[in-house]
Amino acid sequence: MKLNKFLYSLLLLVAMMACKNENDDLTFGDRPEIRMKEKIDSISFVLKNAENGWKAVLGTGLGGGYSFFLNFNDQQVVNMIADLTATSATTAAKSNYRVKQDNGATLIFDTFNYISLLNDPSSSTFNGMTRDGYKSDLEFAFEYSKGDTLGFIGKKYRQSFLLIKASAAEKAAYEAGELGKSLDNTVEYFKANVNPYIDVVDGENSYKMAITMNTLSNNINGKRIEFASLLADGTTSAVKGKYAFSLDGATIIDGGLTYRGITYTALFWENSKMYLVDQKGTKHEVKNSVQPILPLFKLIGSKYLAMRSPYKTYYPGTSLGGLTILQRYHNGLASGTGYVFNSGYMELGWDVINSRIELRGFSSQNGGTSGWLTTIVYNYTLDEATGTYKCTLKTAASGGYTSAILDQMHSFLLNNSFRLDYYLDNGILYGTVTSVENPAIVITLQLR
Amino acid sequence: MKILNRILILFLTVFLYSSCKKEVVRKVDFSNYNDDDPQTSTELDEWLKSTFLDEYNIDVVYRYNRYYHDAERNVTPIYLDKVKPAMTAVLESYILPYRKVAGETFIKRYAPKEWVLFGSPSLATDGTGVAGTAAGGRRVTLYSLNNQSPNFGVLVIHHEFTHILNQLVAIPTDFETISRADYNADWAKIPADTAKKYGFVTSYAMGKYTEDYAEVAAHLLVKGQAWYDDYASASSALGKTKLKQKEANVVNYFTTGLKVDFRALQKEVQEYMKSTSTGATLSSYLLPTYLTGLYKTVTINLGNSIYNKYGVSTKFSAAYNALRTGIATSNRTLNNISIRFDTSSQATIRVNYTSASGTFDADFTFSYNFDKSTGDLILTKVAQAGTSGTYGNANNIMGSFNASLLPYFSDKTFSASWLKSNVDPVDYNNLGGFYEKGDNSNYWYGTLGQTL
Repeated sequence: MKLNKFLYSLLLLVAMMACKNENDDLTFGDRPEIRMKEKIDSISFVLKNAENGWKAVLGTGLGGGYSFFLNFNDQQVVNMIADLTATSATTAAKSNYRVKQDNGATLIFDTFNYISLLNDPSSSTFNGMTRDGYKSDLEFAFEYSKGDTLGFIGKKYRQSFLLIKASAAEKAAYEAGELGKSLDNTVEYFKANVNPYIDVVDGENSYKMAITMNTLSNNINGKRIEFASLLADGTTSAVKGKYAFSLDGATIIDGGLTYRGITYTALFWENSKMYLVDQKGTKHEVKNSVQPILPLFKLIGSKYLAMRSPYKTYYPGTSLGGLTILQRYHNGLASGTGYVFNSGYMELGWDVINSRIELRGFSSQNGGTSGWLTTIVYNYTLDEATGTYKCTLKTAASGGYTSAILDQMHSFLLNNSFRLDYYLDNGILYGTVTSVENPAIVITLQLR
Repeated sequence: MKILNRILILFLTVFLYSSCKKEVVRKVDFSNYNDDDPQTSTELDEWLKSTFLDEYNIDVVYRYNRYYHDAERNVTPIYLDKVKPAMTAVLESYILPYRKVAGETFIKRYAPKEWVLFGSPSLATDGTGVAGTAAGGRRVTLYSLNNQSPNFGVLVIHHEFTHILNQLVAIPTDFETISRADYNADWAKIPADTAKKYGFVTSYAMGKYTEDYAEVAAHLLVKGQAWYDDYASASSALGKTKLKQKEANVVNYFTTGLKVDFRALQKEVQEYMKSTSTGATLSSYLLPTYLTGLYKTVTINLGNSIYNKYGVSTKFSAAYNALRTGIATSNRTLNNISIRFDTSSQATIRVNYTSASGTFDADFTFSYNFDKSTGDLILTKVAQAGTSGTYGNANNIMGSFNASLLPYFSDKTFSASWLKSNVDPVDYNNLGGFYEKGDNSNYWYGTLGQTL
């Protein structure tokens, strides 16, 4: 009988458990469709109810950073201003958006607007890479919301897209075309000041930090900022980041760019001076130097990868002795190789890691569209104190058809030690190669 | 007792089993799940609804959705203000022509029900893109609408719809045999000119006979008969034969297989293309582009029934009848006259007549000036190019000719165009009209011929 009682009570328990309401043990509190709808509704609500709109910054996979001013309304329409072109920075364009469930809540810009230019697969649209554009998205998955910030991430290219509520003053400024003015000013500033730098005092250690800005918007190498300086041991270092234009200068994306322990976050204008500001809020005035801050031999191989003499182009600063060497090559393309070429170039390429210099002779029979490359490789030693290079042959000429007309440059490199210098002409910076033994030989070349 | 226990244990086992079952089916209410049906009700949306959804049960998807294109590609959405032009083109170049020619039920039943619009092309790894695609007879996707004219996709639409029609009535088996040896799956590597020489409308048509079929039909409809004939003439002799065989096959298929008058359809689509094109595209639909090149003769016989249908100008019929009565006095019966563009500068007006001893041609030599851009034609009588044969015949009727047609054609500028009249499909692109500059009531027209 005891067994029976036990069995009855067990039976009762089991029967009760089997009848349990299915809503009782939901891990996340509510059914998925309810939770998703709440999330979508709340994101939509927040987006369209920001009375002054949103300012946003977006990085791209291939290109630099871009900034936007967005105004969402309740008709699934977004008005957009962006720092992509002169027009986009001053004129708002209208398109559609929607927020939908797609592996989480997703914001989609679903008719064409400025942001779509970065995604466009035709290079003719915004000069992006064919097929990839700038590796930027149209769909952004919701990640987090914190204070006045909504964090999204591009679904395909995983670039963060940060939306921050704009103030009334910012809204008015965007609508008055201030982004366009700021963009123009900043571009002009870096055009006029070719060697910008800041003075950094870091304990007892102070140094000049050079700033390089690529201000091109419709270029995959554009919208980049680079810091570089000479280290105490005579070597150099550099870092590169992406930025987007802002109402008062530029914002470095992805939380700023850290160099020698300091994280710089933005460039901004104040009283017609440009400042670089760091994470702690310290302002560093940007100054201009006539010459680059770092000597050329420090930058070759990192900032500049090669020095080139384009087809029959002789730059100022080239001496008579230098011209002979260049002309030997360019004039020889037509008649000195046994073949007839109508274009080509001669180039010195640096491989700093292996201490090698490559002398390259390119020749073409179709105006430079395609052709053949001859390469001679040298090992070099560099006297860091004086910046003097000395070359020895590593690999003799291989490939292509121009070894015969590279002869004079080849013998120059083997029989001279040389220094590299800057040469500024008409606002364009060139590099010169000057023989130490025979200072009458100076060759001015394009820095690449 | 033991039995009761046993029963209880059995029950217990069943309960335990069912309570341990982990599979729980929850009811999800998808109406709350944001099923992604972007709906706005702008003027554009209303227009799309009333024009396409209500009328044809066609849904137009213009808002971006990744699942409508190759997931690995970047494809951008369309500009809002390009949607209406694009869909107007769809309506007028495709839906309405079929509706008029094939009937309302036909187009409502067979038109694809989902049209997806994208702004950019969809580029493959080799950089090639397509203007559009169709899937399963249900969805048509059009690309590149941001930068191309709204008519960019018309060729594709007709191409794809031909595929759909091919599912209703199979492609005649004899079509495949025309070019059977030349189909090549690697069509993308074949230059357009090679495809032309082998008798294909495009390289793409070389891929498969089904594609070939759709290309022939689409090009005949969209680019037009004159373009097609001109293209065929620039092919090899064999290629031309094959292109014309394919044309005949397609026309027959539509007309007898589908009971859709292909020539009427061609006319409707052509009229749309002409009215919406500009520049070089427009020129490709106009007669002057093809006159003296493709079309080498214009033949006029006022006894032909077309002149009852489309009328004749008083001045021309006067001259023509003067010739007829003139040569009738010597017992010659006028059959027809033709203007023949022999070379780039020499033309012949040929009078064909029947006398007691047979039917003869009498040739009168002219020089001519023709401006392909304006269509202006000036004929000037020059010395006869010969004295015997047809020129000998000419001597026999020279008096009548000099009193009738010679003054009619001399010292006038005529503008060439397709006959300016709503001609029947069978005559469409077949009649060349020449209108006197400054006096549109004076004109002559005739049947165009492609061989001298």
